[in-house]
Parts: sequence; structure tokens; C-alpha cells
Amino acid sequence: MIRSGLRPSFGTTLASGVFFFLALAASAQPTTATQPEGVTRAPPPPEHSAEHQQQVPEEDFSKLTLAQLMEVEIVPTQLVDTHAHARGEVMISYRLMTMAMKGNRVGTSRVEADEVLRAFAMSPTEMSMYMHMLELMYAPVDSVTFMAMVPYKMLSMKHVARDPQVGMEGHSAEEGGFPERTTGLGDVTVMGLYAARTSPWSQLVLQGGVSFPTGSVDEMLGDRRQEYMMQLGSGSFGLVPALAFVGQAHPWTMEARAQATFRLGMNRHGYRLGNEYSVSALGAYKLSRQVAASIKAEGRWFDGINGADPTLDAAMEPTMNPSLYRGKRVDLGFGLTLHEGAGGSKGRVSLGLEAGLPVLQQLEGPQLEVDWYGAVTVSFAR
Amino acid sequence: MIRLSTGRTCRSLPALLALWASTAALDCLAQGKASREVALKKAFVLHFLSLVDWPEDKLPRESAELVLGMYGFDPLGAALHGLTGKVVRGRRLVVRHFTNLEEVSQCHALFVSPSEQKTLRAVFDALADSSVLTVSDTAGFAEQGGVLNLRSGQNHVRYELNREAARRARLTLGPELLRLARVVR
Repeated sequence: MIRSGLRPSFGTTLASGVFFFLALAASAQPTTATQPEGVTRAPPPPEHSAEHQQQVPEEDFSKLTLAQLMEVEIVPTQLVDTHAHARGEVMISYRLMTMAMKGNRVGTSRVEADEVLRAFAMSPTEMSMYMHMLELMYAPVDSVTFMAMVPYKMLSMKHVARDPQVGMEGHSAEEGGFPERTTGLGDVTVMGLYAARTSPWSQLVLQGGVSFPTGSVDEMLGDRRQEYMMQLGSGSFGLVPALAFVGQAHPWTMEARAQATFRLGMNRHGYRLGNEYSVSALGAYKLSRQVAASIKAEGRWFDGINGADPTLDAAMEPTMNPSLYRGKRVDLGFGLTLHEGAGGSKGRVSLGLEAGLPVLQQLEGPQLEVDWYGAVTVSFAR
Repeated sequence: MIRLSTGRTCRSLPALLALWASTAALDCLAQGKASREVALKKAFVLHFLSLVDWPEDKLPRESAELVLGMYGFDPLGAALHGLTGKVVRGRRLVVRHFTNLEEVSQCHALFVSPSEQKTLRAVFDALADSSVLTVSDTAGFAEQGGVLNLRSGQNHVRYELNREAARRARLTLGPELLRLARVVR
């Protein structure tokens, strides 16, 4: 018998998120001195003195030409994913993401496949996901950017069975389990970004998007449908709202972001993937004009699947049980961004590398646990 | 039997993370006075000074100093103090803060802070016929009679030019300055 005591603490999360954004927004108020009217003024207050200024490292643009200065971004938003582009700017990017999952977990504890096989006929042992993501962005005006994300997924999963004879296509448990693979287009997402507030040091971005059910939910293994997580899409429309705050204080760029994915309606196989929620904080440090390093912490919450595919036997394997998809995860990621070009008419090329691992996983399982993830991004903006 | 742990640590972690990130962000953003925009605008002002020629009676060829005056207070004005000692076309830059309008005509270029938006008329009157390059980052500054005005938009810094005001002040502007400006008059 498998017992689960997972209880999401959304109250804490919501309060944390609200506090986070309020704190950031408050801190972004420009510091403008107000003076009484008249022609005679007192000397500058100490905090505006040159000496005080020198306490804070300042980027030196004095070697740039006037034309180059006009190409420099006030907020170097290429360091973070979320940002509104300048009017007329087009950005195209390609991202290769990978995620490796090995072993099962229940709650925060790891469990061996043998233990899983006491409750299920089969157990997943590992899964790998590769996703090629094409992103297109266009900003018709300064404050609004439209974005389309087209994913192409390559999924593979290995299993072991309680009865070695269950192995398919000649792969037995002793051979490391039988593999499953699916490849194809995922759910396409179209989003709009609105820069609700822009100051010299910050951008508050509201984001809203729709996820389209372009990914297949009909992937088969032999004569049965593959489990939920091996399908390429959700089979239903989704709403993807997000709120992001980007603050800049040289040489740091900070991003705080909250995002949710709400699945709308059951798909044609009688289930709806669970909603997902995430909050993240990213700090990027500019090492030089072309190179920045970043660290990112992200918390994710996954709801369980509603309904069930009637062709999948929930007792056969945990991945076929729709209630065993709920969980929480906190990831810690590290990134490096290299970019060339000042943007504007000359264009800007960026190369981003990111890798991370979960520092905490609490899964209503048995569920496959994430070991690490990585991404390589190449983008061009003009 | 497989038991699921209660995961109390997990529940408090988002709050701790948010608290940590908030503190870090507050600390960073409180240093906005040294922002990238200020640094950028400071570089613009330095370029302006090097791309303008003053009439001989205002800035004699043998003069070793170029005086940048400031009127009013704001982070950019404070940052401009850092230009003291820079050499602009062979002349040492001297930055002076003026508190009296009767004295502002003594400088070669005057940065007028946004805090003085309501007294712009008085500033321009005080500078009449004085061949002073006026610079600001105040909305409407160039339209009202200032020569060069820094503006932020589309995540970039731009500048506006009032050619009429430059001509009145008998200033000669370099071709690069003219080419990249948004001319408002």
C-alpha cells in the first residue's frame, strides 16, 4: 500500500510571492530629489555627492562613440528570459533543453524499483527528455511584445517489470527494462508581454498566453496508448498568465517571476493535465560587456491529472496512475550568457548555457525524480 | 509499505527563498543612483562637450579649462561631478555647482536638473546672450529653449536638439551631434 501525505501550502507560497513583488516594486522607485522653487539652492545633500557615487561601481561608457551609446540598452534585458522588446524589434531563438530523470521518489524519499514493484506490475526506471524550442518575438510597440514558442519533443523512458516476461520487444528486466520513445511537436504557446511599468532600473511585465493542443496525445506502444507523461501534448487548451519583475543595478540584473499554466477542459481521452505553478528568482551578474553569469532558484508545483484515460490501467504502473503526478520541486540553476552586438539596427547575438538540479523534490509518488537539467540557447535580436 | 514524508522543510522553503531574494533585490536596487542610465547619460554629456565649439569670446583658444555647471539636484547631476579633471579636446573639465542663477552664465555648459523644470524660463533668461550650452534630461526642455535634452525611451537613451537655441547661443555643433539628434526646432 502506498500512502501519500502531500499537502500543498499555497497560502505560504502566495504570501511569499506577493511580498516578493511588493518589495521589489517598492525598491524600484526612482530616487528624485525634490527641491523648493526659487533661484537659490542649498549645496547638494551628502548622498548626492561625487564621493558617495564612487562607492558604487559604475559602468564606464566613455570609450563608446555617440552612435554606439545610442545602441546601448538601459536595462540589459538580454540577461533574462522575460522582457519587453523595443518597438519593431524581432527576436528569434533556438533552445535545446534536456532533462534527465532516474529513480523513483515518494514524498522526499527515494524508493527502489523493487519497492515500487510490490505495488505495481511495472516501474519506470529512467526517462530523458530533449526539447527543441523555437521562439519568435516581435514588438509592435515599446510596451507590447508578442511571442510564439514551438516545441519539438523527444522523450524516452525505461521500465522494469515484476514479471520479467512482461518485457516487450525482447527487452527483459534483466536487460535494463524495455524502452519507450515518442517524438514530435509539442503544444505551441502564443503569448503577449505587456510592460506595465518601465523605469530606468526596472520593468514590470504582465504576460498572458494561450497554449494550443498541437502536441499528440495518441502516442502508442504496440496496441496500447502510452502513459500520460510520454504523450507529446496535453490535448487541451491552456492559459498561461505570468508576472515578472526585472530590476537592474549594475552589474546585477534581477528577475522575479511567477507563472501558472491552467489547463482548460478534458481532452478527447477523458483527462486534463494538472495545472502548474512556478515562482522564480534570478540574479545575473555581468562579468564583462559580453559575458554574464546567473543563478536561479525556481519553485514549481504540479497538480494531479483530472480524469483518466480509460485505456490505461492505473494499477499497472505509477506513470499510468493519474493521481501520481502531483508534486513540488525546487530547482537551483546556473547560467552563463555570452552576447555580442549592441542591438538595435546592428542586431544582437546571444548564446546562453544553463544547467541545474533540484535541491528539493516532494512527489506524490512513486514518481520519477529529476536528476538534472540543462539548456543551450542561441538567439538573434534586431 | 512506502511512506511519504511530511516535508515540513519543503513548505517553508519558498517563503525563505522569497525573503532571501527580496532582501538581495532591495539591496541591489537601492543603489539605483549609480544606475546604468545615469552612467550612459554621463557619457552622453561628455560627448556633447567634445562635439561643440564655442565662440572665441566665450572660450578662447588658449583657455585651459572648460567649465561644466550644474543647477539643481538629481542623481545624474551628482554623477557629473565625476567628470571633473577629464580632458575634453585639450581642456581640463571643471565641474561647478551653481546655486544662484546670476552666476550660471560663467560656465560654458550648464546641466539643468529635472528638479528645475518649473524655473526653466528663469534659467533661460539668465543665460540669454551668454553662449552657454544648456543640457538637461527634462521633458520639454529643448522645446522650451534648451539646446540639448537627454531622453529615455525604447530602453535606450536619445537626445533632442533645439538648433534654433544653439544658433542663438552661437554654438557650432559637430556633424555627428547633428546627425544623431532628434531635432525639435
